[in-house]
Formats: sequence, C-alpha cells, structure tokens
Amino acid sequence: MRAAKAIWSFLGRADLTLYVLLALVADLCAGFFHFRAEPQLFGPLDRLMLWDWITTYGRFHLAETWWFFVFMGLMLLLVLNTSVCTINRVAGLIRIRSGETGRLDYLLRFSPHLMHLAFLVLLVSMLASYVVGVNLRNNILSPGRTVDLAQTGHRLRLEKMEVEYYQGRRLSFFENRAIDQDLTLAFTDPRGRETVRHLGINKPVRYRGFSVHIKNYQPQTRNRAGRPGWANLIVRKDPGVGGFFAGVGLFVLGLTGYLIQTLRKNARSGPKEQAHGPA
Amino acid sequence: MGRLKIHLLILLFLVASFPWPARGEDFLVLGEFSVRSLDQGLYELTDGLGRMLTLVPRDREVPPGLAPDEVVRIPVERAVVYSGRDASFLDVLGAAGAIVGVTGHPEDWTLPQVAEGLASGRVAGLGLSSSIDLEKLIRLKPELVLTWDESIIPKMSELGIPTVITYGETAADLETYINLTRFLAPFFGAQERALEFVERSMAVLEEVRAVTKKADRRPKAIWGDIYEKRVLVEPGHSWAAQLIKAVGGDYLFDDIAGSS
Repeated sequence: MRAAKAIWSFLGRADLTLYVLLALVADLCAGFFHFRAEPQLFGPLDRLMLWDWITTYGRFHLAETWWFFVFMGLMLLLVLNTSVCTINRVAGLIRIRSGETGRLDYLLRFSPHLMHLAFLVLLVSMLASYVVGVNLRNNILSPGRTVDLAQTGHRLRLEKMEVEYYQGRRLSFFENRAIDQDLTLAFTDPRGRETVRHLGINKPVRYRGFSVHIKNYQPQTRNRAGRPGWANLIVRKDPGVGGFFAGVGLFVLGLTGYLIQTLRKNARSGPKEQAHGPA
Repeated sequence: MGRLKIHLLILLFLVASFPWPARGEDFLVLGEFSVRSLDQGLYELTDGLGRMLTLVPRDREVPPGLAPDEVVRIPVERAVVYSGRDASFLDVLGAAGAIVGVTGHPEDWTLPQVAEGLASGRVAGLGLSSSIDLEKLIRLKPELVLTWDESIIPKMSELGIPTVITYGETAADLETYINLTRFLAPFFGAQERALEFVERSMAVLEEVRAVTKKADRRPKAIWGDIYEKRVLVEPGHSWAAQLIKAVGGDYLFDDIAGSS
C-alpha cells in the first residue's frame, strides 16, 4: 500500500511533467536525425501496424530506432502523469464545491482538466488505430475479383471500373489522361447480403468500420483503355477515428471554457484595478 | 534502497519483455525491400510494392493460411523475368539458368544466357510487357515472376503464380540498387554470391570515387527520358544520379526527390 501511494505521489508531481517534456524534446531531436538518415526504417510505419513494425524494423535496428521506443516510454509516462494530476485536481475541485459562489464559475474550473482528458483520449485513440486497426495495402483487383476484408467474413468485389478522360484543349499535356474514376464495389457480409458502393479518388468508401481508398489504377490514359483495367485498393480500419474526433471536440470545449473563465476573471479584476489605480 | 530495488525491477521487467531478436534471426532492410529469415530456412520478404511473400524450402511444409501466390518454393528453378536488370542480377547470383521466359523484343536481350536461350528455344519470348502472351506464360509453369508491372498481379494471383515487384515506389539509391542482389539471393540459395558481389561492387565504387575526387572539372549531366510532351528525370537520390556523382559528374537535378 505504501509503495502504491509512493508511485501515485511520484506520478502526480507537477515537476515530472516538465522533466518528461524536456526528455521528449531531446529524444525527438535525436529521432529527427535518425529519421532523416534512415527513412527506409521508418517509412514502413505507414503500412504496418505498430506491433508488426516493432517486431521487424524496430527491434532489428535498435541502433537507429531506440529513440522511438524511448519516445513511447516517455509518452506513457506523460499519460500516467497527466492522468494522476487530473484525477487529483478534479477530486480536489469536487471536494471544494460547497465553497464556490457561482455554478458557472465552478464548472469553468474544470476546463483545463477537460483539455487534459482530451489529450489522453487523442493519444489512446491514435494508439488504438495503430495497434488494433487494419491496414491492408496492395489489394490489386481486376473487375470480377474478390478480396477478404481482414478475415472477418466480409468480402469486397470490384464490379466494374469507369474512367473519365480529359476532353478539353487548355491543358494539352493532360489530353486523354484520366481525370476521374468510378469504381463499383460490391461488399458481401457473412450472411451473403450484398451492398454496392462507388469509389473514386478522394471519395473513399466506408463499410462496416472499414474504409476503402484507391492507391493506383489503370487505365490512366485513353490509349491504354483497351487493355484490362485494374485497381490497387487500400483497405483500412481505424478504430480510433471516433475517439480522435471526440478528443478534438473535448479539447475545443475545454479551450472554450478556459477562454470564458479567463475573460470573466479579467472582467472582474478590471474594475478593481481601476478603483485602486492612480487618479 | 527499497525504491532503487523497485526501479531496478521495473527496468529488468522492461528489458526482459522486449522482443529481442533470437539467435539466427535476421532482418535485412534494403530500401523499400526487406528480407526476414525465419526458422527452418524460411524467409519472409517485402517486395517493392510492400507485398509480403514467404519463401519455403521444397522439403518443408508451407505454413498454414498462405495463398499459393504468396508462397515461393526455393530454390526457384523456373522464373519469368521482365527486365534486363533483374536478369543481370540473376546472372550475378549464378541463377540465369533458371530464366525460362522474358518479355520485350528478343533482339534487345544481350545477356548471353538469355540471348542464346531465346535463339535455341530454351527461353521463351512472352511478347511486350504491356501485352504478354498469357497462354505461353502458363505453359512455362513458372515458379516465380520478377516484374515491375503490378497490373499482372490479379491474373498471376488467379493462376497461383507468385509475383515479385522488383522496383520500389521511390527511386532506389546506389547502395540499395547493388544490394538488391541480396533481396533476390534467397530465391536461388545464393546468399554468399550476393554478399561477394556487393562487397566487390562497393570496393570498386570506392576506388572510382577516390580517383574522381581529384578531378578539376565536373561535367554537368542529367539522366532521364525525353518524350514529346514531357521529360522524366531521375531524382537526386536515385542510383543513376549517385552513379553520375561517383564518376565525377555534376547531377543537375540533385535537389529533386521522387520515384524512378
């Protein structure tokens, strides 16, 4: 019990935040140089889930990737520090409720803690997307071909592809090049029910938590239009997206509350300063 | 003292729980490509497009859950090769004899094993890469296709033929380019040959650099393709640009980054 109290007290120290932030700055400076020197080690973070990256690129190249592991450790410490500080302060605020005069003033005092909570929600959401998400790249399909959606029983079939080519004269270098696509996708759930959606560049399709994006496709020019078409699709599942937006919303709410609190404080202290100021 | 012990225990736990590489385990990163050696002589590869393939020795069982086009039986005995570069790499690895089919105009092939093979009929010409003769390719029963063309992947998957994209999405630098032999080596059991080739090539490159470093004049040069409506050039970090710089040239698009 004493050890738990000591750990709680250590994690709740305000100066710990400062040390952790300074350590993060130093670590990220080192990371910047390693990232620049060995981009091929960190680029795969784009296509791999965090654990897959750690067990391959990360652990086999510790001389270059150590800073990333230190970064994750420091972020964990920052999350724990923020959580404990927030819990302590919020508990304190709840205890002193009776001493407060206005209900609004009392509620506004929670604003900074709401921002801390938002920070935690954002980080956990990001982590969720990188740890339990799905990132299936290079699903190269020709019309009629099917792909499994991460062994969930759901399947995706490319029904047909329609490409619109540039017709104008103003951009001669763009003549006969594809400017828009309409890919018809048919999703089949484990019960055999089919859902049809249309996919294009910058028009991703969403289906049962998955999102489908175009990475590449053919034909891209009219003179290749006679050849068999294909599309390279990226299938993603970001379980953290909802949490991420909720975190952003909470942060905006907290920031707004903090602004109102500051404005109200200034409005109150203004007349006093005038009253006591030089005539 | 008690607190120190707790800190040491936490540290020990963290170190022990880290997935340290086991003895014999290896993970080689070559630009966008990677080669991971697994137990029992298996390899897990990432090709230029980021696709994963598993190389399984002929006398081992294929791990469950893999599609036929995701598994390559090694050493490969029958390969279809699209580019002269890959054919040359196979030649370096002593595996040019495994080439059973190529694309492009037969007269463009200068590698003796391929040119002679095309003449004798041992190597099949599959037509231009943009419209290969699929029936001919199927008759060849290739165990592997080495290509730059991702458009053939759907068809090859349907046929259960493993396909490797040997060109990355960004331009490979000179070191990566030379080291691509190490990426191809496990397919043919030629890892030692690949290492020797890389060491020899890097040594020659260093010799050339030592000589050209003293040059007074650096001729300006570009490397690219000129078309009717556009010019495509190699970026400054590409093997072509680095080769120009190594031999004493001043590459004009040194500040450009991107794909080949």
